[in-house]
Amino acid sequence: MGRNRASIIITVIAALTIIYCIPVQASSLFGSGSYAGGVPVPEFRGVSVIDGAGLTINGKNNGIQLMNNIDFTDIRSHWAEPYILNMAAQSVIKGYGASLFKPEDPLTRQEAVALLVRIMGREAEVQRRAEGSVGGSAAGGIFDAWAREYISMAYELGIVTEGGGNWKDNATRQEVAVWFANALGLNPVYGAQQQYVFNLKDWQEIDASKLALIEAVLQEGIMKGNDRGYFNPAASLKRAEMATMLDKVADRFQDRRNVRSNRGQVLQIDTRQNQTVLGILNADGTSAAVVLAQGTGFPVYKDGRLAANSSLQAGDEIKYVYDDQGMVYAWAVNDGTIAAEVRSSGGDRLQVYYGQITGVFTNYGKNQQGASTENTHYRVVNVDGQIYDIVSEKNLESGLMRDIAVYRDGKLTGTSALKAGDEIEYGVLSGGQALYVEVLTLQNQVIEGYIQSVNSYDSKITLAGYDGRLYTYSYSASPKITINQRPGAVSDLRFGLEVAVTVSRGVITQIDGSYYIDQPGYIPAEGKTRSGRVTYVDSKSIVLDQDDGIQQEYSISPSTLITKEGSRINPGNIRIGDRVQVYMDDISSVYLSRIKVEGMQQLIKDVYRGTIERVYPSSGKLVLKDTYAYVNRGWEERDRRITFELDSDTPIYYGGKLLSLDQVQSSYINFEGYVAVSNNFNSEKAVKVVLKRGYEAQYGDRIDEISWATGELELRDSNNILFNDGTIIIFKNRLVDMTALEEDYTITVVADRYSGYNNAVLVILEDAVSTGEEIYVGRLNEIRTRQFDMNYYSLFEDNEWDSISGRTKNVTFYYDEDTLILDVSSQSVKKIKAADFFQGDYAGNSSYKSDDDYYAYVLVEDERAKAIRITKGSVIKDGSTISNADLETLRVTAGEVSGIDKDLQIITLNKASNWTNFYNEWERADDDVYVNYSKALIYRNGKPIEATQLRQGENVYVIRDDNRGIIILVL
Amino acid sequence: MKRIIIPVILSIVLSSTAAYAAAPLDQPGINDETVYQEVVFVTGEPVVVTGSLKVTESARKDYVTSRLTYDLENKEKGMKVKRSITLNTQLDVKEGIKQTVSIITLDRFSETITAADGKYKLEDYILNGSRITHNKPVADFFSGNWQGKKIYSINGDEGRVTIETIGQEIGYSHHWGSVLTRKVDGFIDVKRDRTDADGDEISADWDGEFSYRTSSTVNKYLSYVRNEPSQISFRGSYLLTVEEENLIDYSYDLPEFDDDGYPHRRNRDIDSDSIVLKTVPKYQRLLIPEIKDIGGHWAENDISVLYGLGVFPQTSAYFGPSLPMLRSDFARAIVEATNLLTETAAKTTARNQPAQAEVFQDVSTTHRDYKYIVEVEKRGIITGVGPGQFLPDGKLTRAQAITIIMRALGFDNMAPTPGYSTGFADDSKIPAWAKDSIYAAREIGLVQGDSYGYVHPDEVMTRAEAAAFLYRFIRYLQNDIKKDYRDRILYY
Repeated sequence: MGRNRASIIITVIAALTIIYCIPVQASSLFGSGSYAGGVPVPEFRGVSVIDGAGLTINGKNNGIQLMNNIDFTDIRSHWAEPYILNMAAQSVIKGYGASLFKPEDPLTRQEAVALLVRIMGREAEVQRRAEGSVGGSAAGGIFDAWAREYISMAYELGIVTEGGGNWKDNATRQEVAVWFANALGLNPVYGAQQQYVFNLKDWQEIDASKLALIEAVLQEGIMKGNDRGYFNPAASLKRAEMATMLDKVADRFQDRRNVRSNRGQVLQIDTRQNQTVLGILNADGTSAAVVLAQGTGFPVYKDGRLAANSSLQAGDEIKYVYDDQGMVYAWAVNDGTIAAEVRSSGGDRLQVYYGQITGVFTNYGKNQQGASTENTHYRVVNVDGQIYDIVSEKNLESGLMRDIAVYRDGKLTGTSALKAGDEIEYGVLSGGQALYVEVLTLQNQVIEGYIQSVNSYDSKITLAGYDGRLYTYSYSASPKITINQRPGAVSDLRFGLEVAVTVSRGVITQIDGSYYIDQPGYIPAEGKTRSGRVTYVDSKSIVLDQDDGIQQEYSISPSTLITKEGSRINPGNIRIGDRVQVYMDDISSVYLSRIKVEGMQQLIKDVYRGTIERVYPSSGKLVLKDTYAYVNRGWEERDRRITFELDSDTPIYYGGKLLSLDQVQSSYINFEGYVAVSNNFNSEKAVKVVLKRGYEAQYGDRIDEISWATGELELRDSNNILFNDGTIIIFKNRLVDMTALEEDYTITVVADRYSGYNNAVLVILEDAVSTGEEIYVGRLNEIRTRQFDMNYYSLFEDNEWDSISGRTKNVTFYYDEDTLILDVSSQSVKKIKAADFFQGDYAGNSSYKSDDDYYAYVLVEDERAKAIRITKGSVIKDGSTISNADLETLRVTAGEVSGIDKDLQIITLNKASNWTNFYNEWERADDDVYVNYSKALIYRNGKPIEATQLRQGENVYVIRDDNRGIIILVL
Repeated sequence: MKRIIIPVILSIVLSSTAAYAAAPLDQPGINDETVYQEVVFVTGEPVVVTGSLKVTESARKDYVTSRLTYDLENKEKGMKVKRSITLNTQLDVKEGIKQTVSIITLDRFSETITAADGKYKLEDYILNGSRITHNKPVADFFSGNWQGKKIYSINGDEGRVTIETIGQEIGYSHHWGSVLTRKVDGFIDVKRDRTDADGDEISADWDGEFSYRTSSTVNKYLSYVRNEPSQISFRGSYLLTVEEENLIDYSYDLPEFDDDGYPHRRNRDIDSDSIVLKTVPKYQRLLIPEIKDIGGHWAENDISVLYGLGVFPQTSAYFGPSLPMLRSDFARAIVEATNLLTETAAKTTARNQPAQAEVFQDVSTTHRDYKYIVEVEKRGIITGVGPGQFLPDGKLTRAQAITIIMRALGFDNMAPTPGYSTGFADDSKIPAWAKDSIYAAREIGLVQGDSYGYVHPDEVMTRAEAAAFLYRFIRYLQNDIKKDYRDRILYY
């Protein structure tokens, strides 16, 4: 017979003692009795036998001898082998000697009664009686000497009731049946109860007087008819058959023989300190431990062989016999029936759970006997959400373990095989005794559908599946819920929500819901923002040196809203060095929806030179003494002492290297330095500081060549200047970095000269960038209701006027009610309306020039005239023909507003440069420049402003005719 | 009931746990510890008056009454302002979602402005405002709106001045600072008849506009102070400086007046100005770190500062910079760095604490970081790795650290709707629960990824990296968030 492995795997095993086990590693210490969320977690432990609940059976030291005794050579592979061995092991059967049993031989009558006497436990008494007797006859019959007392005893016991006969004859089946009935004390069965007997084909051959008892024997199942329904009452009985019948009734006479037998499953075998211990779980729910000291043992019949107990393995289902001295014999049946019995011995007291192990941890405590224990907790979360701990306990003083049987991959082990993540089935008896744990996969089922209802009172969810059916399940205490891949809660589950529900053994363990997301990755308009300093800008793109350290390019579209100080501007009004905030509507887009340009606050107001008197790292202040400010290419004396605020990230450089405030305080006091300062709400804030190392030298020229690799630029006058991160580079009041430098730019340099090199500390770029405005000048030719033409016109580009078109070439612009139209042709300045422009006399009489012509400067945007400034006669005060040369007498000046005189209507510019057409470059003015603004168009950020609104320090770009301002643009 | 923790713009308290901002919402004024300054526009030109402001408050469970008394003057212009108003603030605290709605109304008022050209008496005053406060684990954020209308009489019945203001405010408050920024637009309409030299009554009506922005900032910053003598037990230590800065930046569009006080037809006086007041800084020296294994380490500065702040307990002379950071240590660090425990302690010392049952099954009440772990769990900053499991000895991964910080700030809700890529090269490796936080962390500049664009979410953080990250977080609270609230509104 083979072992039915499958049935063993599914077996439920009652609480077991595992006496010795491999110790579990201890981990962190914490208190006994554990909690989850403040509630104590119930624990399940194995049942302990050593503590007195189970039975201990010793080994006998005649075990091997017994094995040899019963090792009959002629029964191997015989069908009755196990029964013969069982009876032999219990000394019921003795054999013929020479290890022979002769199973097929017929049983003699004396042998039969002897066996019955033995099985009834009277062997010892018979032996005593036999000591003094010899053969012969007694109570009738012929028998062998050895059989005398047996026969005598048989009569005494009532086994045999009839007299005599030849006991050496073969026993008949019917006679043996009756003897069995007598031995067992069976009641004869009469009348209608007689079922079996009359089913036998040869019942009539049965001795009528024996029929009733034979019926009883048949009913007990001790004997039966053969395959063809014949009882063969007069036939002899084979010895093997007798052995089998004896085996069947042996248990009923256990007490008389002073043996006990049981059926159970071996769960653990452990060897320790010269002892082998077998832990057995019996089919009746009790447990036994067989302790075999060295030299002791018992025979085992297993897999068709007789062997020593070492052939037993954990998992073997055994029928075993033991007496007061110890274990006698075991038969490893391994057919699954014992395992099934063990399981059902639990009855309704057994609760089966399904769950998953979420964690393993160890703590320490004391058991009932006061011994210190190390407890390993396996925390299980059941599918219904309940949390339990399965605990295996190790007695630290004795080393014994109270463990639980664990099945994994068909093998039986202990709890040490469990790990977090395992899905298990486990059985628990009432009283919290864990019987077994089996590692398996909880069959999960995924159902998809729509939420119909959520009943939080009963913890049930109903959903309508895609197949149209309704499914209702309970949900566990803490199911894993995600909605749109984000963590969610039961309260987020709404009617109609599309879900995929994972059901484990009837309980929902996971819910994945999804709402239709119209726009994944959606952010509200302008939801993404960055800030930084502009390093490059044109009408299509802008590059920022961002505050997060990244250089990033963004795209500008016609719909990008660009504002500065609340009013809308063009990309052309954004300057390199401006600080901006940019906004995007889309997290992955580089198209900007909005750009906000910083107001006046961050513009560089001044550059100071002075001596570091004091620095306060803890409050971020720098005190400069003997200060000068850089004005008009020179240093102007200022206050004796100025205190500047420092930002947490204001850089201070020396020799191109960054210093900390702390370093400055300790080592650089009394050094001279240059400070670029911005106006921070009426207090001066140092934006960048560079300390001087050598001697100051000033240079000013055009850049001939820039070598980025060496950080060197060569001016046209052959001077070489080094620049680095520590150079303050200012471009129209904005602090820019080195990348703003370009060849052919005109710069003024204040350098720090040491070791024979010029190191630029301050570089001021002179070139003005584009004004952002499109400017035309021309002769007003034709004026219609919405449009007007100009001929003899010129476009202002790159600080210069283009060549003038002739009579036949016209340029057309739109105009409307919002166009600012100034008529400065007379003494006073008149602001006229569009209607007046149309109806007035401004258009030329023909396309030919004449002295009555009106000329206009026009500010244009997208072919629309924003502003028109009308003068009479040609633009030159006293010229008669327009030529390029005439236009060229108009001057272009850039500078900083240093004063406004409202009475004289003059603005004063300092740090001014004039554009020289001859050299095509800017030339610094040595003095302030005065511009009369009474007849000028003044624009800032694309909008017209009053002159009084100009602020000190603002950079302006002026097209003027001598001192008469024509167009003033704020940069 | 949780008190709203907002620095009052007129408050004299420096710490970030100031009292209610029951400030007069529509007065363009600021103060420091000693003086209060305000700009007055009623006369047609901006006049800065200086003086004192007294605030008394009585608070009940959901109701605060504040009384503000002003006594201001500008000697040069001959203007005196005396004002007294009582405001009621009704609080509606929603504990569950941690938000509070306040409704502000005016109870009583009285005001007189004595100026060179007349006496202005406040006849009518209506003020209504409301504010919402969001209490996030580590910081409180709030935003409010109001509208006010004041009507003055000039010299009895000579004229009327009507000033209407609409304003909004925004701000935050946490252990490392606070900012309150306000933007207000105002309109003045004056109807007045003046008697001229001939005795005729000529209309001197005018109107104007003004707007102002105020910013009240409590700054806390750290600096290292080195010791000059070498024979001293420590080379140097850190100094914490607390300073409050209040500024007002106002601009106006008012008419130009001639010498008789009649407004010009066309000429306007358009200009702007600002006033800044700062308090005298308060100092606090931090503990001296005595650590042996961080000298010269790239994170030495960060680690020393955190020791000084008590973020890391000085129980050992060794920091172990390259050892992995444990979750329980990080929980403690967050609580110490943002001072979460003192708030809780203040509220619960009175009550008798029942014996604690463990909140997490793997953290016993005797664990060295128990109270910190309880605190972060209570505030929802760290929720654990499984039901009842905190895993205190688990190693902190980058994804966990970033998520914890963003949850502490409460910014994890600022992420886009799910179904997007964070933009990092290893976006697919980011666990779903961390995605929103990593996105938000990048947006505020806390996390950039390495030079290849990887964020390495599952990499274990070493103790040094965690220290650097925490210090970066503190600096974010000190500086970056301030820039967002203050600079962004004031400068652009």
